[in-house]
Amino acid sequence: MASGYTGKILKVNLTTGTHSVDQHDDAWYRKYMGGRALIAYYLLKETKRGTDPLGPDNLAIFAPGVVTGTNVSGNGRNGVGGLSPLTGAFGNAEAGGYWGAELKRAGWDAVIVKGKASKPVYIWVNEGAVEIRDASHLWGKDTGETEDLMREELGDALVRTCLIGPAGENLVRYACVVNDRSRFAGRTGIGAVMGSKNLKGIAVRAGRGVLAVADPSGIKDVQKWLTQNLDLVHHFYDVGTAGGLKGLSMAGGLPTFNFQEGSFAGADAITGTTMRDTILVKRDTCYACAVRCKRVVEVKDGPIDVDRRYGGPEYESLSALGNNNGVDDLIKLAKANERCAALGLDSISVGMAIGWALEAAQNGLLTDAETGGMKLEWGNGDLVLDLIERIATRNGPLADLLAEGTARASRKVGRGTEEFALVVKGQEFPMHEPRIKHALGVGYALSPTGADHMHNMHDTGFQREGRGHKIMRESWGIKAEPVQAHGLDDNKMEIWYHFAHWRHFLDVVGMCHFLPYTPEHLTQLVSAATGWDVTKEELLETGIRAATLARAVNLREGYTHDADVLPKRMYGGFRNDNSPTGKAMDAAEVEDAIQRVFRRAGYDTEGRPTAATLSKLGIAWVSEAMQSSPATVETKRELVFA
Amino acid sequence: MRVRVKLHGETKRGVQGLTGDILEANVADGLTVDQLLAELGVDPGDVWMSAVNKGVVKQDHVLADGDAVEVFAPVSGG
Repeated sequence: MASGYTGKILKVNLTTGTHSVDQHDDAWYRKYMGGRALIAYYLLKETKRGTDPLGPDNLAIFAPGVVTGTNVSGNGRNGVGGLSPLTGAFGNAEAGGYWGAELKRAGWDAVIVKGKASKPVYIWVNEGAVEIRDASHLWGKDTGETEDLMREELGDALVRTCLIGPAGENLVRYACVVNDRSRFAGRTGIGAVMGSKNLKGIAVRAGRGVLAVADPSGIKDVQKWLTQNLDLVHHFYDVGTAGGLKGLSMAGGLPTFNFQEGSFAGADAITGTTMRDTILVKRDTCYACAVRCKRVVEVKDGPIDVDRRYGGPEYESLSALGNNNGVDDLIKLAKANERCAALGLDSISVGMAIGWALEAAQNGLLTDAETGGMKLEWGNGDLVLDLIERIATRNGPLADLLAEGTARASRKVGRGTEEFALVVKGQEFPMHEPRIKHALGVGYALSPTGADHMHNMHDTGFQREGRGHKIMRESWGIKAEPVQAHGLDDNKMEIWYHFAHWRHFLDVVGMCHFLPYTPEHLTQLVSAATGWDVTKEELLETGIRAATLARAVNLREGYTHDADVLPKRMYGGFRNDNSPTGKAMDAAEVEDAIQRVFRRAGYDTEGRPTAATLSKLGIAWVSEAMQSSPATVETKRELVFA
Repeated sequence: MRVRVKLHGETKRGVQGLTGDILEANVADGLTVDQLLAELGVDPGDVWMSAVNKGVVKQDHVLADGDAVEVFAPVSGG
């Protein structure tokens, strides 16, 4: 009997209105496990090269992993994926909450949706029963109202939902997927993939379903360790992810005015500490998690109300919408975060797209026809709120332009605005400055989803000897000395190689990156959940396999090695020289570091995994599946900024 | 001398008796930032960077009476 997984993958064809079940043997599950690897597997197997991400032949994939749904802190993660409308290649993001665990407990390892419904629909998964239901009355509604209406018509207040808002319906290329109202698979625009299929969402109810695990006591042991060591993550509970915003600003690593500067004069007003001391009303949590890191904020009885049901802003949202656009009004930023949640927008990409427009306007490079007469200025929270509403519905010329994403917008406008597009493979930078974290910059260049900070290493976490170095040495046997603030030497890149691939692994099995588990803990967890006698080396290889499969999707879709680059701004200084610890990167040094990663991973100098590497990873079939064509490569030129 | 210390993020971990983010301490003259943090019980592995009187300093910076010290942990996402 299967443990840790259910053995059933739900496949829904919205064109025909039918569904079926995919089943795989135990060896398949041990190889792919879920999440990122499962998503890449199905994209390579069941989509063709050059498939339109917004066409019916793309897949919208919802994939927890073998740890999701087990009773251990950090388990409540699920991936979503498909071919990305933003990058035109591998699209994938993760979210916490309850939905993924509910899906597993309902008896499903993943949901894969193909085709396009003739009218808006949602999928109702009620334990083993699957139904495609009319969603015409839900189309156009916010995510919160949609969840309320779905629960009402299904007659069950405990139904868990995974939805899109108006942004996904209007095919905004960075529309996100919202589960449990306040959890977001934000990046790469999978919300628009759902919108293109007329799919409003998936509602799930597990009833009394319980996920079978091989060794409950093994899982309990890890949960016990976590509860005895909650001090390691107390800061997430206390001030949340935005607790470090002020430090970044003082160091000159806080993206400000679209990465022109690194310090923000208004930082104190929007930190996690300030939020805790002002508008925070509660800490929320995810399925079976003892950490309780999620912010819940509320504002009432003033000119702006903020609805607590959408949770509260994390660091990325505060930073992308705030300092990146010069906004230091915490209440307006909390409202902007709430509206992104309700409308289904990735708060990072929308904040960056607005920042690009503000910098273009700063330089007088947008015409009145392009702005629709809007006055664009830094530091205007009302403008950010207005643009968020407009972008979600493509209301007006500027909003319609920005809904295409920064890369396409800058190509369309031209006139030198391409210099302000902080993107990799078409995806906007998240809120971490590579010029204070050079290895993170390499990670941006190499990430299969475009610039990403999660399956990545943050140099600053390894500058002083600490727990991370100890884990690196004891678990992986590498030297792992404290890293230099700048540069990309072998010591740093060896840590990067293990750290980034381990995070790919966490995204495969459905484990939160913020939990302080060691590789030994995860080895115990996966073994206890599945009954497999796994080793930590096998798990690291699972992460490497996932990254390789995702890269194979990108290779097939035309991203050759010359797309593994950073935009020019990273090779220069900061405006007003206001970054005390930042330093320009060096293009030759970045390329040299990338080549070392390629050699380490068993890729050739063009970043293609060799036949021997694919064979070693047990995915020799990918050699054929990753083949591209000159025409496909050409389609990606507009999304590469060097 | 007397210094005021604000601890951010996980740098608070291990500091006995700290209820908020800020403490004031009487310490020996000539203490460096790292020596101060050791006295307070801050795990050096939790520290990314420190600032004195709103300016970033090295960990061997020598403190003076009345200094306002802030200590930050690394930031990796959100």
